[in-house]
This record gives sequence, structure tokens and C-alpha cells, in this order.
Amino acid sequence: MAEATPEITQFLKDHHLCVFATGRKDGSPQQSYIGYQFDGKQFLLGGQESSFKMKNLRRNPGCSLLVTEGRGFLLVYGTAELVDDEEQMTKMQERFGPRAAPPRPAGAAAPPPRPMGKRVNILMTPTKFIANRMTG
Amino acid sequence: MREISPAIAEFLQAHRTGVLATQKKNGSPQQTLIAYHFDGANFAISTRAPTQKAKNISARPEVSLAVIDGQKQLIVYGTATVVRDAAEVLRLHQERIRKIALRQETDAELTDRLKREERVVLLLTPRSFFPPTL
Repeated sequence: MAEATPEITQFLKDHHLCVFATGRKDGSPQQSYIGYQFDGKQFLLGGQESSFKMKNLRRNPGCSLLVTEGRGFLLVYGTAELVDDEEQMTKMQERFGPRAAPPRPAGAAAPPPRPMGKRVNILMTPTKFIANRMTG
Repeated sequence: MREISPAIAEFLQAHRTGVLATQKKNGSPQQTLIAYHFDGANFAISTRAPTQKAKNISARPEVSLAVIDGQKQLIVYGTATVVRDAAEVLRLHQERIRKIALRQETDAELTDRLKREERVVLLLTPRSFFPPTL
């Protein structure tokens, strides 16, 4: 497990959306734009059980996420563990605290809840943090 | 290559940065933030030959590019090639990369820098989008 510096921890707590990447069966990358929570040690992410990213992670738990701010970015490599037990998922959510509501334009009404299939939690243990700025 | 809808083309041309994911040898993803030029058909991305993404693409050309704007997202899936020919790298920089570049430089300065920095151009041809329509 990689240790996050105080600066990295603060950056990750100031943001809550990332581009999350997994590897398909043939190794080609799959990406999605999803919310995350960071407790200083691990990341909590989630998604539908039937989603491609869950299928990918069951096969290959190696994953990465990238959080951007202007031309700066923080890249995190890690290993994912899937948690689908309801009791464990509730405990995990208590550990990470309430999820931030997704941002929406000022004055816009909350969207109707989407019909959701079974949700699965992704607990990601970081193995490497890379803070960088875009080049080229 | 499939037809790209006007809404998708417009979104891609209104932006210039994205998260490029390539694949490592072990099938895990590698990600980085890049600047791109989209001409309506493909993406041109300037990078250095020794970078991991250039090496990954040479060995395994399937890539993904995520363009995000607030809550809006468009994930592009496709195949990339690495252009290494010096004359072609120069032409792509002059005709395309310059349009998104922050720096101003003469042709002579550009030619010199491309050689010094071992620049190559990644050309990414999209095959599918998520969401499929915007």
C-alpha cells in the first residue's frame, strides 16, 4: 500500500469525481467517470454489479484513477476488492461517511432516481500516487 | 470507421484535454492527462517517444480517451498508432498540434524542439463512444 502525503490527501478530499480505468479481458482499457471517497488510506467507489468495470475487476483487480484540476492531475494506481455483501457495504459506507451529492447547475431540480440494479462497492487500495502536470 | 454525430464532433472540438488510457503488458490500465486536436475524424496527440503511453500503444493499440466537462462525459474507444517519421511528425505539429499549443514558436524552433524532445504523434481513430449519443 502506498502512503498518501498530506497534500495528496487534501487534494483527494477536495475533489470527488475521477476517471476510473479497468482492463478488459483482452487487456484494452475501459474508463468511466464516477464518484469516489478517500479516507486517507483507501478509496471507496461503486457501480452496478452488471457493469463492465465490475466484470473487468473480477478478472483483473489492477486499476487506476485520475483526478484533474486544470492542467494538473493526480494519478493513482491500485488494486480493487469488490464487496457485495449488504452488511459489509453498510459498514464500509459508515467508515467513509455519506457520499457527496453529485453537483448540478444552480437551480436545477434533482434528477429522478435512476432504476438501479444491484450495487457493488469497490474498495481500492493505492499502490502508487503520481502528481503531475500535463505536458505537450 | 463509423459516422460521428454532429453533437459528438462539436463536443470533442470544443475541448482539448482528455484522460488517455493505454494498456500495460499485464492488462492493467495506464492513464495520463493529454491535450488533443480533433479534426472531425481522428485525434492527434503530441508526446515523447520514450513515454510509457507511446510504448504501450506500439505494442497494444487499443486505447480509451475520456473527455470530461463538469458532469458531462464522453468516453472514446478506438485504436491508436504512433507516427515516428520526422517529416510527418513536423507536418502534424504544424497543421494540427499548433492549434491547441500554448507556446508560440517559429518553424525552425519547432523542428529543433521536435528532434530534441524525441516527439512523436499519436493518431487515435475512434470506433465507439459512451454515451453513444450526446
